[in-house]
Amino acid sequence: MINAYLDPASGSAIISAVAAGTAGVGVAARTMRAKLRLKKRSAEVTEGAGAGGDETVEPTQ
Amino acid sequence: MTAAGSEPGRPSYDAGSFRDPSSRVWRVGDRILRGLDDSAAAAYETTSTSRFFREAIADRRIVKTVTVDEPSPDERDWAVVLEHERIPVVTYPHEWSFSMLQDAALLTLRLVRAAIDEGITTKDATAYNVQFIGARPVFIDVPSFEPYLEGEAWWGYRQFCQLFLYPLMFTAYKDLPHQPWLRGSVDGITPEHARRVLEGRRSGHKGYFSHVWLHAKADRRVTDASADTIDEMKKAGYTRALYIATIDRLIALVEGLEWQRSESTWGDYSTRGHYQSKDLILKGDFVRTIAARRRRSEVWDIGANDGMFSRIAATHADVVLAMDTDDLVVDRLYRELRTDGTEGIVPMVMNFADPTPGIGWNGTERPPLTSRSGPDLVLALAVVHHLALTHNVPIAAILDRFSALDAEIVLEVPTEHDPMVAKLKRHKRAGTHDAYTLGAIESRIDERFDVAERMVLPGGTRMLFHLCPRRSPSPARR
Repeated sequence: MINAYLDPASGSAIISAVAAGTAGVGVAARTMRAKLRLKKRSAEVTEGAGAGGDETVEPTQ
Repeated sequence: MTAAGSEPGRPSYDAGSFRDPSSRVWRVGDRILRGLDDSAAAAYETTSTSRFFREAIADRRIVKTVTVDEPSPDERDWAVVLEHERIPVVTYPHEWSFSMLQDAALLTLRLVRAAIDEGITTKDATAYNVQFIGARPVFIDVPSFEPYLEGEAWWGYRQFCQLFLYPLMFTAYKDLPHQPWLRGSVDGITPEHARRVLEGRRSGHKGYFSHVWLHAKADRRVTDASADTIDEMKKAGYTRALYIATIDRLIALVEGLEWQRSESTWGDYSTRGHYQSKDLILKGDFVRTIAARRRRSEVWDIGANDGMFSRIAATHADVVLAMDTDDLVVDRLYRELRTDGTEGIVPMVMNFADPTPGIGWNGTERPPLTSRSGPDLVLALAVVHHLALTHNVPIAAILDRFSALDAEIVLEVPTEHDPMVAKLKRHKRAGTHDAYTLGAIESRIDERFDVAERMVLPGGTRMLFHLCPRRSPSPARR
């Protein structure tokens, strides 16, 4: 279900760099690494928020 | 060509032009108009003054387009209104043969390649941006061009893969017809579905690893908004040179795709060994005489095969839709017409027993053939026995369908004594098609049409009819 809210063009844009050849593979790899770092950081923040107590989290509709 | 909620008598927006909110298409009579909002108008200003665009308009790779002063069909105040040359008959990628889809793909890529040299890109790359005038592909979505922002990847890449590259790979690598896949989804084939079809022992096919396998993997792993991705790609060193390399490599890949199949059910029909030569000559004369009586705006040739009769009709018509269910014979016809430079015949993969339905939003985004095309003459030569005996469609239903087209029909009926009819009945349960007799067919014809001419071919087992729409109901059917 989560994937339904994501923009599939993101992955495609990165792959279009790979399709450009060797130089593009480097760009794609650096982009993916940056994304993984962001993802890891975001996961840590989420975990931290959970440990700090529910009162800091805004209710969502 | 209608939009829900429009006022009666006022033109309404084309039901397929809503996806890009900066531009809408409407029709006034035979004129095709397009409104552009401020942003699209600014992009058009840049595009229309570029050299690649002017050259592509001049050699008709992009549809002829001029700026006009026309009112909007609704309350929207368009910054610019464009008028496009009318495409005689709109066809869709799920009705094209392999070479047609390949030529449409190459046209798209070569335009994108020429545009980037002048700092212009395309915001999409759907196969619906291309139409055919005869056997010549034409790019019709002018507002697709917009200024390129340095460091951006090609936004059309995903659509190009889904609607051009994967369908072409299916046919080239797996001998799978692309038409059912594109007819099944207006967005084409997803990377994951392409991977599942193309993977296997021979998945070392050119382009498979990056465009299919890796693309499918990335779909599952990259999970954030595309705007962030573009920024990150810029930071990672993405440049215009990489954009150009992507397009160049795609051009080489698509150019190299070949469909190896050389045989099909109807691939050898051109020899027409089941016809006596005199029958064939007289049949040609019958069609020629009727076609030459007056100029028709649109002719359908159902079961056109090698286009022998389409070519006869084309000399007296604005456009002939040469339809056949066999994608290989349509592909051959297309390539012949492309070589000839014939513009009056549009080949089309179409099974009249299972015609193209409306697809996309509301079932009207890409409407069925009968909503975008209206023949005034139909050639139904040697098809009625296939509809009746192969597809089990009752004769009355076939004739009702023809009658609903409200066109003149040239109908060839092989009788129950024809060897091809006997061949088709051989594998059917005994008695199933006992009602398939010339007498029964003629009486149903007489109930529905005015028969202008009828002729028995010298072979004695085939009959030709020239049918005209009946303007008042026959007493027998009241």
